[in-house]
Amino acid sequence: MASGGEVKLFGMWASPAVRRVEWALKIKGIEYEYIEEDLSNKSTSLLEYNPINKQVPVLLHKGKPIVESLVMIEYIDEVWNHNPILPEDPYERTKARFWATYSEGKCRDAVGKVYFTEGEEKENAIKYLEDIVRVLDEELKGKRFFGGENIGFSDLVLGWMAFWLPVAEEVASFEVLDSEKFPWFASWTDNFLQVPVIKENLPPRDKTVEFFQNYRQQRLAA
Amino acid sequence: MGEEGVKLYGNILSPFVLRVEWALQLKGIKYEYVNEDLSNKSPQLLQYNPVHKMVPVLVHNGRPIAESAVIVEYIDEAWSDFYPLLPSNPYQKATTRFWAKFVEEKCLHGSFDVLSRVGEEQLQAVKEMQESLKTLEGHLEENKFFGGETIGFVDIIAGWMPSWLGMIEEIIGIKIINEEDLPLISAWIKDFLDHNLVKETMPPQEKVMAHMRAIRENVLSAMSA
Repeated sequence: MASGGEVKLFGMWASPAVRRVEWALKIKGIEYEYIEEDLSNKSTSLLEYNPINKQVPVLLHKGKPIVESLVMIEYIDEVWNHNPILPEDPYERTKARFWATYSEGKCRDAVGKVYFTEGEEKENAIKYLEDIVRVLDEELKGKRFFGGENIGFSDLVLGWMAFWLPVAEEVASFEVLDSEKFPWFASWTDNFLQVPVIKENLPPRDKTVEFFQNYRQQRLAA
Repeated sequence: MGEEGVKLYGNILSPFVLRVEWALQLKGIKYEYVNEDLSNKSPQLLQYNPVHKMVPVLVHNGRPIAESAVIVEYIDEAWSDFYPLLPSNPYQKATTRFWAKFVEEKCLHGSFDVLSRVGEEQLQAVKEMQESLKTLEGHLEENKFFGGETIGFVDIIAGWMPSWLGMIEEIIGIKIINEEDLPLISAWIKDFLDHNLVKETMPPQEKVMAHMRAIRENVLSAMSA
């Protein structure tokens, strides 16, 4: 299918930032070589292509590296313009980017706080996360996806919440995804995970829970 | 007001509002500036940005946009025939966006750490800030600005640094930017502050300074509470 040059993706199976780039590549039908990284023993290639963050994902297109998953998705959308991910209209694009910023700025921090705190701090973190989910629930009122009838940029960027937030709930023993309190958000998570391109590109649930259990234990012990 | 109604809700203390003003003025876009009292926000602001309730908000033909970097990209796309702020080549655009994120995540958050910590932790924050600036310096290469000969997207996103870092240095009594260690960044700061647009839009420094001192005081008193 659509290739347009050699595409490689350096990733790690449990990482939500990596998956969202894969979702974008799959939506466009772009063939790519996937390279699994052991983050405790990073390859020289990864360190060469991303010397600044030394992180996955890294996208390589015709030998040139692109870093930061949101930057990658916008790049993919610009180079391969069939099956558009961002809307064409500049104003609609601002809405897509606004929610992407919200995901990376607010949502990730909020979930992180619940993961790595205990006691009263954790209770406060849970309340804060609920407020965040409430905002997303409000935005989804009357909509199937953030992108409207079909998934778009905001859905891909926020999509980690559909899979990795339930994982976090299991790992850190809390509950925020209440379908009575947040009915639109709950439907969105179901609908999103049913989209074929997403459904076929998720890590195994049990292994992911185990991975984040270990990760959480290590961080709390430190 | 311009031929297409453009309104900017802002406040002189906000460096994020300045980003939008620079973008609008570089593009030659006429706009109406609405000053917000952040201790008494207008119903319009709360209606236009219900999620964050913050400035800047740009309203174009009655439609609001929030988040300064998102607004600047919108300005570049909606008025694309004059003074491009981002490169048109997708790879160069991706590089530009990467550096803008780097400035936001490492430098902006880093500067807040410097302002809000004390003792050893503060010195550590200063060191990390200097490392981030050293990395950022690599992107300047031989150019006067990150955008090349003229101000571009990364300059706009990083444009708070020249005046704010100077003020932080004065408040905490520690030098962050040494010319020998960060020669290119130092040169960029001089060139940026010397740019007519920056000079014309510079807010009254005493007010910003007082505001930043207040931020530090609040953080320190919260720590000892």
